[in-house]
Amino acid sequence: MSTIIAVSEDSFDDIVLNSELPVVVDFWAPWCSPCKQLMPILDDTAETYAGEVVVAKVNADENPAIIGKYHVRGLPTVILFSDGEERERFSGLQTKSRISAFIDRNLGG
Amino acid sequence: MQSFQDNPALKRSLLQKTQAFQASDGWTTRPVYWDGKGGSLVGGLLGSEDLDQWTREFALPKWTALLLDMVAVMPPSAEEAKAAQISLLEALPVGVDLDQYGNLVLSRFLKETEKDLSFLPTNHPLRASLAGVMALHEAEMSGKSLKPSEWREARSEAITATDQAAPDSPEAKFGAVIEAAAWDPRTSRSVVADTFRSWINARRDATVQQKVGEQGLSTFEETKHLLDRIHEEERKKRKDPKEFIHVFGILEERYPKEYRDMRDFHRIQHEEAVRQRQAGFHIIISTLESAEVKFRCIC
Repeated sequence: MSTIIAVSEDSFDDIVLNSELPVVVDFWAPWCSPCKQLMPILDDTAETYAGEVVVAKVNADENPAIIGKYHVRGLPTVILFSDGEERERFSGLQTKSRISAFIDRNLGG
Repeated sequence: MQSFQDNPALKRSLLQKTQAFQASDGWTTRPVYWDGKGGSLVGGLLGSEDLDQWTREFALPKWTALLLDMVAVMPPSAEEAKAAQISLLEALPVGVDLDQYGNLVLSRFLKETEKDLSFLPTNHPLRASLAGVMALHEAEMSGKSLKPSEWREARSEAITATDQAAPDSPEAKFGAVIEAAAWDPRTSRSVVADTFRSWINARRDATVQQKVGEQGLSTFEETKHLLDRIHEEERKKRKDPKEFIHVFGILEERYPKEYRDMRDFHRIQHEEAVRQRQAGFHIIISTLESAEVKFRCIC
């Protein structure tokens, strides 16, 4: 079962900004092919880091306000938030190893 | 775990369900997806996104589920995508411990990568990293249980070695294959699909780069730079900053050689994507078909 939490404009603050754990947010859209390929890799990564980070996704088409607020210019874009602040981001498809290194850097691991 | 519960009828039934689901309106190319009415092939066969159910019902490792759905994302047409899924399902043997096949498929991709990196000195960090990851898969295939820290170390070395290569160079692209493959397929379900995709991209880009050089075409970077320059020059000429600038039309009119180069570049890139996808798919299918005897479960 997918461990990625779907987040909307209504729940973004609660789930992402107020989270005690770091949150990896995947900005995606149903028409975006690289997004489709990234999602299962992120899902797998979420399982690997269960209990250490939360992985969430934001549908860009349905949540334009969040896209605007965080200046998301291309899809997929993945942003890591910690203590309510953006720490790092990447765009485009990445291997699970790169995504893990991205998380490790921000976990201090 | 014996694939398809060692029951050929289960595999036949799965193939029949696959054909029926692919023919329905519910089939989509979004991997491991089910919304209650439609979804990916795996989602449709399970009626859910629960991959534990995949393993429980069909005695197949999770990486096979992910690969089955991911092979449908890459082809340009739905027909090719569906045919790839059927071929992959047909190639999965019955009554075999498929856990080790994950290592075996990855080893085949790494073996091909070894050939592609053979122009580098033997002590090059990428070749050392590649040898390290291959050794881990070999160890697992011989029955050794590895620590997660051994895989972590291999990934770290692969990333470091890749980052030393020039960005977008063939070395960097093949480095991404090594990075992608540095996971245990028993605990990382995306590793096979991720490696397959990275390998296709690396082979495609390396071949395109070679052909562009041989044919004296403008590179992707050169064309991009020229298009940026055209856009900047035209923007300065126009009173309305929001006016649409048809840079490709201007490129075709004023720079016909570069325009032809750009079209040739994209044609070659498309042809290579198709060719390498077929080559990668052949590696997977032939590995699954040929290794049946080696890992036949005798439990």
